[in-house]
Amino acid sequence: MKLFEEYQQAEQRRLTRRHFLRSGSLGLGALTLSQLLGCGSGPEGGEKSLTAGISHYAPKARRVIFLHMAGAPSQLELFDYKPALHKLDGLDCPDSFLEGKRFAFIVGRPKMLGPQARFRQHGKSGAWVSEYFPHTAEVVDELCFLKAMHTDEFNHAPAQLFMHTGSPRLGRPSMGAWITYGLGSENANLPGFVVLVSGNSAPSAGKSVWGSGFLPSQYQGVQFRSKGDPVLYVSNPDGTSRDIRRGMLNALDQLNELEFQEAGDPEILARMHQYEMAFRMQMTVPEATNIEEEPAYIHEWYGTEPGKNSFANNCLLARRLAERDVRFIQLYHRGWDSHGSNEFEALEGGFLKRCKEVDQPIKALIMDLKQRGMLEDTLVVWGGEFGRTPMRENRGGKVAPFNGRDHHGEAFTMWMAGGGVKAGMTYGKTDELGYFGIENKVHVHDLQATILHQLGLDHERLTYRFQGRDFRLTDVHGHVVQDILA
Amino acid sequence: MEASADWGLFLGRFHPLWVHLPIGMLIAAATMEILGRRKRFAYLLPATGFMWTLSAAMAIISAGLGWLLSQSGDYDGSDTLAWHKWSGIILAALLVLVAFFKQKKRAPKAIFPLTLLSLGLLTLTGHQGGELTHGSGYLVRYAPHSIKQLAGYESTTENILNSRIVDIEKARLYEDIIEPIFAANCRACHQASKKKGGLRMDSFAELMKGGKNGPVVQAGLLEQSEIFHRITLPEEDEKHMPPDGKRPLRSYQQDLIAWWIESGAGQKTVAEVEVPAYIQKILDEHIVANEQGVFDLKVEPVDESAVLQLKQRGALVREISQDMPLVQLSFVADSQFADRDAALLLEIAPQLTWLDVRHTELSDFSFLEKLPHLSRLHLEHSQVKDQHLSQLTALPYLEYLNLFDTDISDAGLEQIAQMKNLKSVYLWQTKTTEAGLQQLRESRPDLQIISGLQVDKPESTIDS
Repeated sequence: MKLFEEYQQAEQRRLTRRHFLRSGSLGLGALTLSQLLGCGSGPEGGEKSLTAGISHYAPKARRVIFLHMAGAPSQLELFDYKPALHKLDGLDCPDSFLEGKRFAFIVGRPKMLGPQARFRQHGKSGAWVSEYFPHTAEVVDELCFLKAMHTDEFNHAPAQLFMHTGSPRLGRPSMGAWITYGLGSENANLPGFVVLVSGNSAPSAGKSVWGSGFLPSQYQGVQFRSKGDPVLYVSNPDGTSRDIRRGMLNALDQLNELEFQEAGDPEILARMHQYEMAFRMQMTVPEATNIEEEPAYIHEWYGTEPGKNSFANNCLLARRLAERDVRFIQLYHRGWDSHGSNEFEALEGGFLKRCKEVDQPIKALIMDLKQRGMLEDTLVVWGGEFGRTPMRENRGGKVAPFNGRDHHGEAFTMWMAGGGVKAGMTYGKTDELGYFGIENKVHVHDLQATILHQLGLDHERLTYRFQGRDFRLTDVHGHVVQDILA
Repeated sequence: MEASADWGLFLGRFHPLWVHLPIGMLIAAATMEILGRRKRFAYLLPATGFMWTLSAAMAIISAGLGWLLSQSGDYDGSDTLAWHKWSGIILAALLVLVAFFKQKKRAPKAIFPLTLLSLGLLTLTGHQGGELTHGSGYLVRYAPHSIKQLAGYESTTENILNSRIVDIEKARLYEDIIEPIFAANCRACHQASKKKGGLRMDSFAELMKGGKNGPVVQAGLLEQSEIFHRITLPEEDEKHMPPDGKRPLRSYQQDLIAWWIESGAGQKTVAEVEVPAYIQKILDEHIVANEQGVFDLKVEPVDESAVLQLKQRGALVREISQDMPLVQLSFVADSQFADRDAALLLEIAPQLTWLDVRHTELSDFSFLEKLPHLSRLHLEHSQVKDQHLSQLTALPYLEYLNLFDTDISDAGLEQIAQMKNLKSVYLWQTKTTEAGLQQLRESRPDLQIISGLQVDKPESTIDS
């Protein structure tokens, strides 16, 4: 004790006023600067365990399956029936449609393009569905159509980011990340946020649409594949046993723990979480993703072919993951960008193929969830990142070789099913030509607010402090669409 | 639309900003005056004269600006306005008097009592101003009940909002259905103390008088009724009500208001007017009191030691939400939870609301009877038998029952028919027969019965 006091006194004697002023003022300055620049903003959620989290109020839905049609399918060929557009087919687009409007590709004065599909009303609800979706048409009484959706963006990557992260620019957490951050997982052995991609490539916005942004990285989406190894780099290399793996992870954990003590970076904890999760997933993933064990009639129903990368396989996989209480299951199916500039991008070409690829699995998914008693608490959401114009695209001022439509953010159709949303409902209306919403418009932020609401999350209270300000999925926007809630 | 310039109103709107200057200065002057009476602070005294003069000048400007603002007509004729106006003017006059005494060094004995008086008057005036700006009762809205009573605010609006209608036929159209909508959404700005647009909505008679542009409700004439026009304008329209930043009325509320106007905008009861089907639906959904649901139950927080024991046996126990202590319980995939552990569940019986026993080895389900608050019960893939279902008939809150992939047969369906509160039951891959299901459908038309893949193939009605 004596020695320590002596040491302290000696120390204090060496501290001159000059020392004090220098370290004091510089220290304060540096502290303020780091606050101002937002460098030192320690995220508060870093040490949360994966299963922690709780709803603000009693939830209607406990999980979400989001079927994103990347590339933006044409609402005018699927759900938004516009007989008036038939009459204008091939005529010049009126001035009033072009004033002050910016298009991705249309230049000058395009021609109008009538509906390319035949429509019928279906089910007790009398919802309009085109001949391209004969299977979906059978389950319309389970769906709630949002006919007057609108977004702020008219190019794929920003619009996809906007749909999934609430902002058209990179860096924000995606909806699945927000939700698993807010609610935690109900299954500690699988990720709370799983992503399944089909179609010819990943969505144009890249992996950022399922990123965790500034949230701790254990909340980012984990991509599962229906072809080959279900999760890349999770299985042990040849010759490595599970015991050896465990031993290695234990040693790594100790090193990481030391590093965390020293640096205090919550990302180190996130990394440790993820190693542990990957280890558990070595056991759980092969079982969860083994769609081959499903009976033959289920395969026939979904139109699945095990071992292939297809939307059908992913739908079946989504149901299996939902049964295992995965919180947010995000499907992407790409190839809907029907400009008409080549066969793949044609309404009479690639678009038809895409419709065939998704139609039957969608019906199967909805009905399968329903017969298992899961549709009540699983919210299924379908839609693209924006809609398409009632005008025919004329890229470069030339007549396109195929029928196609340009990007259009002001009006498009999405639908929701289950999860406490009214079944057999059509909400919102577009004008005679499907160009603008005229009744009960729903903005992307409103959709996001509604999805969170059904999970028992208040979109205004689900916040995360980063760089000196509280962030939300819906930023400062969004109203819950109360009228569609059951 | 550009509002035309109005200098009086432009300046008047600076009143709520400017008033804070005399408030601060008066408090400073009074503090200096009071402290200055002690020797230690006597050095403050010479400056007080200046402070009083400055406060008086600022108070006069404030009063002037306030007078300009009162000319806007938004606050016309309210008692609060009169009180605020006169107490403000008296306060300004009082400050001038004190400043005068100070400058002329007269009546030194009167200064202290006048200081206290001016502080009291300031509090009063400030509070009245707050009531005008934010609406009456703003200050104590979230105060504990006892303080509210003390302050004389036993709010009547909240009683209206909370009173639930049980017999819809006897409900009064205006008082019970329409007025609560107005009270919650419009009244903050349309009442005795703050009559925006000259309109008061705090009583039926005042509402019928209308605003400065005449009546806002035309009985039976929806199109001519300004109130309906304004609430149904597009949200981005400047004239949309409630104004920007306030929550717009929900469409069912608009429908109710339209229905009320069309049926004469009177004070009849529901039984006396025509009720279209879509209104009946709204009334059922939003207006008639629901039976008490399980989420309205008041129970104690869950016993943590029981939760810990359950977790050790592979249970996942989570509170359903932050605002209540009810819990949901499921089991991890390889849980060894079996009959011998069932007693543990009873320890959290009051809180246990959602139960999922898919991943357990339970074979005896007689404990379910002792879980009175169950509302969602997952028994799919379990060893549940027909005889266990009789345990469930007494559960008052049970809404969801999943029996998919079990040995339940038609005998069990008879039990299901007796579960009064049950809303949906799942029976795919059970031993039930079509005849049994049909019987259940007939005895319980309200129940959603899902028994398998076959969907009623919807008929396509109209060709394009």
